[in-house]
Amino acid sequence: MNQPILAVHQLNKSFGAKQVLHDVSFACQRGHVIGLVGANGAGKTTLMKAILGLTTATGQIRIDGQPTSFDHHEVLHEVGALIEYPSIYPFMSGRDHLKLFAKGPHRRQRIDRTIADLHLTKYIDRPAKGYSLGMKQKLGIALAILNDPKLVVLDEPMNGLDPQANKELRELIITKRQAGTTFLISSHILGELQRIADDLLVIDHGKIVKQTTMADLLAASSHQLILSTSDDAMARKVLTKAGYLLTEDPKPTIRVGAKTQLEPILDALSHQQITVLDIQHHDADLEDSVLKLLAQDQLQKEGQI
Amino acid sequence: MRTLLWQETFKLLKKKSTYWVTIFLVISGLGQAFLEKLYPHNKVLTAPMAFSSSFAATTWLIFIMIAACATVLSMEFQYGTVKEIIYQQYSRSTILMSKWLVMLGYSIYLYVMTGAVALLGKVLFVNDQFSLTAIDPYSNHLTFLQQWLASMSSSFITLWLVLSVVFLFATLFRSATMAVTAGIVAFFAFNAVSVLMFKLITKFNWVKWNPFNFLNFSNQITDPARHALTQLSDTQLLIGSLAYTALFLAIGLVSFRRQNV
Repeated sequence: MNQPILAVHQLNKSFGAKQVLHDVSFACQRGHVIGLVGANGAGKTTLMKAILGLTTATGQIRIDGQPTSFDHHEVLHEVGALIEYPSIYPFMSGRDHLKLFAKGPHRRQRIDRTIADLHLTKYIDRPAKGYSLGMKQKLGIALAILNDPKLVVLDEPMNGLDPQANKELRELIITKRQAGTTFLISSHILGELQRIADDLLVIDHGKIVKQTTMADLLAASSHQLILSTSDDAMARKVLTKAGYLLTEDPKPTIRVGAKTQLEPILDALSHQQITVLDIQHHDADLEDSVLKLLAQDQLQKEGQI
Repeated sequence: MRTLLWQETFKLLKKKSTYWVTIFLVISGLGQAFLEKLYPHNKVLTAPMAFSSSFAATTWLIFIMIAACATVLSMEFQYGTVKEIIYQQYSRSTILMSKWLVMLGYSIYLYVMTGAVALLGKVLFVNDQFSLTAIDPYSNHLTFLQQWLASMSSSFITLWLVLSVVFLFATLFRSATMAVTAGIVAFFAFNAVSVLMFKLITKFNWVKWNPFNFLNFSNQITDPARHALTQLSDTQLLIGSLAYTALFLAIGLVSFRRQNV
């Protein structure tokens, strides 16, 4: 059972002369939410399309241990997805869409449960051509989870969702994850990803530049102590002399490790009769960490040129 | 495959146009038969002539089926639903074949339905003008009933030759407009160029094997004199029509199997 639900090995994809995926390899553990982040055009959607057999690519993809490809993808019955934008037949109602794609036993119960889970009851029987972007998005997500797949691939699922719907989606993903469903989610809304993702894949120019757990990424990112003192200018001098790394901020802001002790800092300042009025901790969030990673990758690339 | 056939049928039955088409064809067929009753002595289109084409239904069916086949595939690209279909467990070949089969079923339904309407119209309005068992003087000693059945089945074969081109264009260009245009041009513009084609056939005999010549199949069945123009027997036209239909569908299939979406 330790076999990853999704394993991608040496995946390459080119559009003509332009290579958009370079030797992409990663694995997704069962029951995890994996965030896929990267700039526009980094290759997130192409990667997801290759996994789903929508586009050709070279390399190996295994879902639940079974190989899958552009031509042969029987194992995709264990996968649900929403790619790019929700696919909607305007001449059908939302419920018709669910009936159309529901498979296996207990369809009616699953349709009713999905409608309830995503709070679609109000408009599910109306023609889909009248749906707002958010309604279509929710219907697209409903179709992705309808058949209780083992793996759900969601491309920007928060697009068009209002704050309430965002919260409901977050709760739904957490509930499904607890039941063993794996999610691979790409999103630019990093704050939302930070709240739900266990693991993180950072992709840049078609390459995976970081594969890590969310906890490790955040722990490795910088922590800062922001001090308010009776004499900030003097405090800066004292702390610099004591060997602390300060930022450009006019407040004495110290970059520290996760286990830095406060006592020596306070001692150094009180020695110079500087009173500490307030201390704030500031941890970098996912956005800071990802931007830093992407900036580092960019610098490396420029260095290679 | 069963799931895909069910899905395609479900979508077809959810389109309002599917029902309007049936209503229109019933009204059109009965209306045409009623006109034959009102004008029994017209020489332009006699009641037996009108009946042989199920009171013009076979022509309407070409328009209707061209539109249906063009949209059954291109709508998936237009709405983006092709992704939803492909990332199911089924192969691209099975997906396209299920569309062919549902359209085949739909065309058979329309032929049977319009045939039943034609029989009803004949019995209700023009029963006194000719008998189904009487010999049609313009045909090869066939009864009106035999003539009608031959006309219906041959036009069905020709219809599918046209539809295979429609499917091919819908696959290659992913556009309903292109596919409809190809179908209309294949069938109707053919009449405009057929004079030139027949002249070419008399000069270069091999030209008779071009696919446009096979569109004459249903015409030759109802008008055997056409053999002099097509230079092909009825059987050759039948087999050739089926072969070209299979070829165009196969090219579309190969193209669809390779498409990234």
